[in-house]
This record gives sequence, structure tokens and C-alpha cells, in this order.
Amino acid sequence: MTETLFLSLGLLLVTGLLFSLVAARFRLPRIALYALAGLLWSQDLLGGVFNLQLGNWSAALTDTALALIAYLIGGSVTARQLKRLGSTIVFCTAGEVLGAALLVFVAVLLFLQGLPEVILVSAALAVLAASTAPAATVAVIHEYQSHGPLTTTLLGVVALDDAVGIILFSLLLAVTTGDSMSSVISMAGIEIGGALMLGAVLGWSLAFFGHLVKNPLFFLPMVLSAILLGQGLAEIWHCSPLLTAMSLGFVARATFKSGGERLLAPVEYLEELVFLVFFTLAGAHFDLSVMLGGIELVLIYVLARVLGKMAGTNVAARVIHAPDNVRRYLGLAVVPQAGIAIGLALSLVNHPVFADSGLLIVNVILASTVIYELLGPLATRYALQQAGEISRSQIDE
Amino acid sequence: MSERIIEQSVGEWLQEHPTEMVLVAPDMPLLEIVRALLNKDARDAYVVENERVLGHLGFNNLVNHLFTQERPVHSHRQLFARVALPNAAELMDPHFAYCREDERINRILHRQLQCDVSDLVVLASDNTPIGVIKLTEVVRESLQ
Repeated sequence: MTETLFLSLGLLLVTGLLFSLVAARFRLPRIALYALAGLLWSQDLLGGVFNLQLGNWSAALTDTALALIAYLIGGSVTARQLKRLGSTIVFCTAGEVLGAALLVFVAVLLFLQGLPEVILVSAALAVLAASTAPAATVAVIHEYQSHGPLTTTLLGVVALDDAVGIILFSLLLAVTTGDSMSSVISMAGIEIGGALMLGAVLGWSLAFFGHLVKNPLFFLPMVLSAILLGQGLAEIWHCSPLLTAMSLGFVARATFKSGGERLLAPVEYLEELVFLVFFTLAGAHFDLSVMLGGIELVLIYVLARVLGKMAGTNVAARVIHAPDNVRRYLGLAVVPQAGIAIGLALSLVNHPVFADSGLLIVNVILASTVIYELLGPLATRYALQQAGEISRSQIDE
Repeated sequence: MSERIIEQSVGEWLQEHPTEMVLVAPDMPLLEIVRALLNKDARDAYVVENERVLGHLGFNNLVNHLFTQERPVHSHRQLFARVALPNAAELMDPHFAYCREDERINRILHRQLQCDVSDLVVLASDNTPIGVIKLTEVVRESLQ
């Protein structure tokens, strides 16, 4: 079969969409079925039979898709809203992110000790452990009409920790680019400071031109152009592309002074497409030998992340004197993990520093995501139920 | 559209169809804005400060924010808005559609439809709001 970008991408997307129909019919996790569709086209299955190769195009696609998500996350909140979130949400987010990152780092480090690139793999998995899956969490809250202090804190935490996850990931990439300690610090400074400034300038420009445009249909092309320009300039000037996109979104919304309907809503419509791309591509990177070799690592990652989130939120909630139910159950409620982690892991596959370990990381995150997709919502439901924020009758229904 | 309406200017229309505008302060909570809209049977509110319109708020957008718990899927933006409910100034669209007194009614109809605005604000030459053109009334008159 001829290898083309469009054919590979088309097959992945069409298969993913067909599988999503099956997911809807049988009420299965959609994300897991996307991954399964991609897996069908991996080299061990049909991809090998039809000689379907994932070339460098997948890297460009993943980076662009990630930039869209980073833009949306940056633009999702205003400085005023951040202040109003309250100390409980901010502290608990810091707690669950740091707890999971720390425990995953230590656990993977101990498990892989003696192997090459152990620190790199441990750090990458630790950073990837930060993010959660807001969609799965919101679905549980909606299904059981849960409400109360834990529910409110949970919503705030899952909204905030994806942003923290992207910032940590950008820091990780910045730190891995230098040779010595001084060069690491200066490179990180340029990558992060430069990205924030570049994003701010582009965000201000986007808002400025946005005020001049009357036709609402022009906003999507304007935003996409700004994001792509940001990615290009970030690449040339060695700035973090993800932080550039995040900063762009944040400043554009702050400068435009609105609820973000015009600047963000058109891109929000693309979010499902982005996740379809992420998960089918991740599935297509499935490698049976890598997966079998790393199955213990998957279990360690899953366990360490859950325990880290539970311990982290517990400590943070104690420090901030949060309600008992938040302290006891928030960690369990933030177990689900999906889109952002997969996207970030995918971007490592073609990163030169992760040339030898990128595939392992993607496979670990892919397998753990499937586990989290199946067990995560149950954990969230259990936590909300134990906190008394779901009534027995709603569960029986 | 009937000949009579096509010939009318926005100013003339306003004299024949005086309509109360829903003008709100930037710090007004969303719930109060929705109540004001319902009381005046309006679909669009305008955020005003020092007699200048700062932005527009549509009924659907307001309701969408007030009843977030009924939505099974949230974007990150909607999640933050659910936890830290915005006020009028934070939710409004500063890029709002408007018309002037000397424009013809038939020229503004397309603007209302394109921008999905039922009550289009009319701005005087000094940019102060002087009334709204209700899409439903224009259509009703046209059909008579």
C-alpha cells in the first residue's frame, strides 16, 4: 500500500469515529475506543500488514494539536477568576500534582535503577502524572447530580491541574536541553521567559485585531494563524511552544475583555478532533514488545500516581484546613487521566532527547489511560458517594 | 418586508415602537441580569458604565452559565466559569453589534441575524444607548 500522510491520517480518524459509534452504542469509554482504533493500525496489526508508516508528519500534527489545547487552557481563566477559586482549590491542586509527581518519580526511579535514561523516564512520567481528565470527572458529577464542597473543589482542581501539567512539562523539556547546570538554567530561562513574552505579544495583537474584525467567521482563522505563528516563532527562538500558546490564550482573553466566546469557542469545537487525533495516533504507536516489557512499569505508574494524588491532597487539605471530606476523598476523585497526558507523551516520541525512551513512555501512558478510563470514573463515583454528595437513590437509578 | 418599514429610519421606528432597554452594571451578578431580561421580555442585555455601552450579553449565554450543572460536557473555560461564576463584565462580548438612528430598518435586519441579536442597541452620535430594535417586532410589523 502506498504510504501517504492523508491516507494514514484518514484511516486513523475514520476508524476512530467508527469505533466511537460502538462506544456510544454500548456506553463504553469513547477515549479507550479511539485508542483501540489506532491500535488496529499499529505495526503489530494492520499497520504492519499494509505497511502503513507513521512518519514525521505525526509529530507536526501532535505539536499543533497540543498547541490548540494549551491555547484553550490558557484562555480558559482570567486573573480575577483565579483569585476567586480560593485557597482550597489552589492548595489541593498543588498537593495532588506534587504528590503524584514525587511518588511516580521515586517509584519509577527505584524500579528502573541501573538502566540507561532512568532519570529521564522517571522525570517524564512524573510530570505526565500531574494532569487529570476533566471530561470523565464532569461526566460522573453530571450523571449522579453530585453537589457539595468536594464536588466544587474537584471541579476546580481538574480545571487547574491540566494547566499545571503543561507548565511542568514545558519545564521538563527546558531542563533537558542544557549540558551543564548553568546552561540548563539559562536555557530554561530563555525557553520559559521568552515563551511568556512571545505569547503575550501575540495575544495582545490577536485581541487588538479582534476588535477590528466585524465578521465573526474570521475569528477561527485569526486564532489558528496566531497559534501557528506562535509555534513557528517559538521554534526559531528556542522558546517553549506550549507555554507560548498558553500565554497567547491568557493574554488574548485578558486584553479582549470578554467571556472568551469569540476567541475560544471556535477552537473549542476542534477539541474532540484533537483528542481523536491524540488517541488514535497513540494507539498506532502501540508496540507489543515494548508493552510486554513495560507492563510492570505501567502498574507501578498507575499505583504510584493514585497513591501520590491521595497523599498529596491529604497533606495539602490539612495545611489549608479544608473540609474533612475534601481531605479524605479528593485524591481518589482525581484518578481519571486521559487526553492531555497522551498528547504530551506523544510529543516526546519525536523529541531528540527522548529518542530511545519516547516509545516506552507513550506505551506506558496509553496502557495506564485505558486502566484509568475504566477504573477512574468508578473511583470518582466512590469518592463522591463516600463524601455524601451523591444520594443512594441516584446510584440505584 | 412591507414598503412602509423599509422606508423607515431607525429613529422613526424607535418613536413608533419605544422599547425599554436592559442596561446592567459591570459588576451585576448573572442571576439578576436574567431576571431583568425575563421581566422586560428581552433577549439581550447591555453592560453600561458612564452612559457608554461596554459590551453585550445574550440570554442563551447567560442561561448556559447559570445552569452549568445540567451540562454533561464542559470545556476548561466552562469549568472555571462554573467554579468561579463570572459577573456581567467578565462574560460580556465587547465586540457587540449596534446601529445608528439614521440607518434604514431594512439595512440592519441582516446584522441582527448574523450576530444573533434579537434586541439590537441603537447608539446616538455621542455613543450613548437610546433604545433597542426588537427583531420580533420588525418581523411582526412586516407580516401585517
